[in-house]
Amino acid sequence: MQQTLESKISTIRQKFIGILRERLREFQILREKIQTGREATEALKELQFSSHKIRGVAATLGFGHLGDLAAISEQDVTTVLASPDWHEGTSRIATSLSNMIAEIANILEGQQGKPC
Amino acid sequence: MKILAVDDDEIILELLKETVACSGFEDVTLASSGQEALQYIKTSPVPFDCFLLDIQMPHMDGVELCSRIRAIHAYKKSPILMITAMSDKQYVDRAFAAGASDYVTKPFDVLELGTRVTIASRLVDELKQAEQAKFENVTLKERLEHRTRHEVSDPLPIEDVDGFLDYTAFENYLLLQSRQGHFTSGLIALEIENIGEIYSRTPAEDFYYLLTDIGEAISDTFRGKFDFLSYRGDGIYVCAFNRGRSPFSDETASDLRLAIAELYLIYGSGEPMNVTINIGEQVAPGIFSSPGSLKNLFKAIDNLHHIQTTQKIDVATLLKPRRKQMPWRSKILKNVGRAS
Repeated sequence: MQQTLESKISTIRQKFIGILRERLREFQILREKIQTGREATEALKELQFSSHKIRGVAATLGFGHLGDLAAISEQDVTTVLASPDWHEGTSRIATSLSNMIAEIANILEGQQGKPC
Repeated sequence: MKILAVDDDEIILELLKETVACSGFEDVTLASSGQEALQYIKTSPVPFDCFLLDIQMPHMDGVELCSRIRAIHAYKKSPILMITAMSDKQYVDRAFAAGASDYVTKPFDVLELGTRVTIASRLVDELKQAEQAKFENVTLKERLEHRTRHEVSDPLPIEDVDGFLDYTAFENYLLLQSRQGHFTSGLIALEIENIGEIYSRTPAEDFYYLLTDIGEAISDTFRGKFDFLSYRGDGIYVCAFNRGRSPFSDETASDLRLAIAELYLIYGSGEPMNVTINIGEQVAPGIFSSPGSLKNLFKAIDNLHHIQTTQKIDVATLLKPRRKQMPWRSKILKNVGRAS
C-alpha cells in the first residue's frame, strides 16, 4: 500500500511542479506590479490567494521550505492589506515574494534533466 | 464508505482522493466548490457517509457548507472533517460550532489523514448499526425507547443546545489545540452526583431529556463565558473556555443552582430527584502539556474526585414541586410530538 501511495504522490508532485512553472512567471509579474504600485491591490490579493494554495500543499509533496516561505508571504500580505496605510509594507512583501520566487526557481532547476 | 471531498484546489483534491483510496476508501466524489458539493448531495442516489471540506473557498466557504450539510436531516450525524490551512482559533471555533467533527490542518500528513478517515469510518459503521436497530422496532414508543437505550456511561449527544458538541468532536477540538500548541482552552468538569440513582429510576427517554435540560441550564448560566460544552457520560459535563475567562464563580454557581432548581426535577412517583451538581477545580491551559494528548481533559474530570463542600450545588432544599405538570415533562411531550 505504501509503495502505491508513494508512486501516486510522486505523480501529483510532478503535476505540482508543472503548476510551479506557471506560478514562477505569475509571481515575477506580481512582484513588478507591487513594486511599481500598478494595480497593486489586485496583485496583492492574487498573491495572497496563490501563497495560500502553495502553503496548503507544498510540504505534503515534499517541499517544506517552499511551504514555509509561502506561509510568510501569505501572512505578510494579510497584515499589509489589513493596515490602513499598506503601501509602506510593500517592500517587505516584495522581499518575501522574492524569497519564494528564488525557492521555486531552485526547485525547477533541481528538476531539470529528471524524467517526468 | 462513500466520501465527498470539496476543495477549490485541484492538486489537493487529487491528494485527498489518493490518500483515502490507499486507506481502503475508493468511493470518493470530488467537488471544486460548495455549490457543486450541494448539487452532488442533492442528486446522489446513494447518500454520502463522510465529508472532507476545505474552509477557504470562493463564494461559499467550507464553514457555511458544513452548516448547510448539517441542516440536512440525513447528514445530522455524518462525520465532517475540515481540511484546511486556516489554523487560527476563530476559524477552528467557527468550524466546530457549524458542526465539524474533526479538523485537519494543511499541509497534512498523508498517513495521519488516512488514520483520521478510518476513525470516521468506524463512526459511520456505528451510525448505520444504530439506524438499522431503529427499524427493528415496531411502535413509536418502542422506537423512542430504543433510540435512547444506552448505558449510564454513554456520551449522549446533547442536541439543539447552544455550545454543545458531540463528545468525539469535543475531544478532537482539544486534540487539535494540543497538537498546534498555540492556543489552548481551560477546562472545567461538572457532575451530577447521584446520576446512578437517577439513571436506574428514570425511563430512557426521560433520562435523555433530563440530561438535555441540565445541559441547557449549564449553557444558559455560562453563556458568553465558554467556547464549547459536551456531555461525557456518567453524568459528567465538560466545559472548554478561553484562557483567562473562567466561567465559574460564586455568582455563576448560584445562578446554576437556581436554574437547575427551577427545572423541578422529580421521578415518576412525584418524589424529588435531589440533584446535586459537583463542579471540579478548573484546569488552566498549560504550555507544558504533552502535544496530541487529552491530559488536561482527564485532569479536569479527575478533579471531580476532590470536591470540597463549597463546590457542591445541592438543589434539594430548593425543590418545591408545586406544579403537577413539570416544565421538563412538558418539554418531553413536546419533543415526542415532534418526533412523531
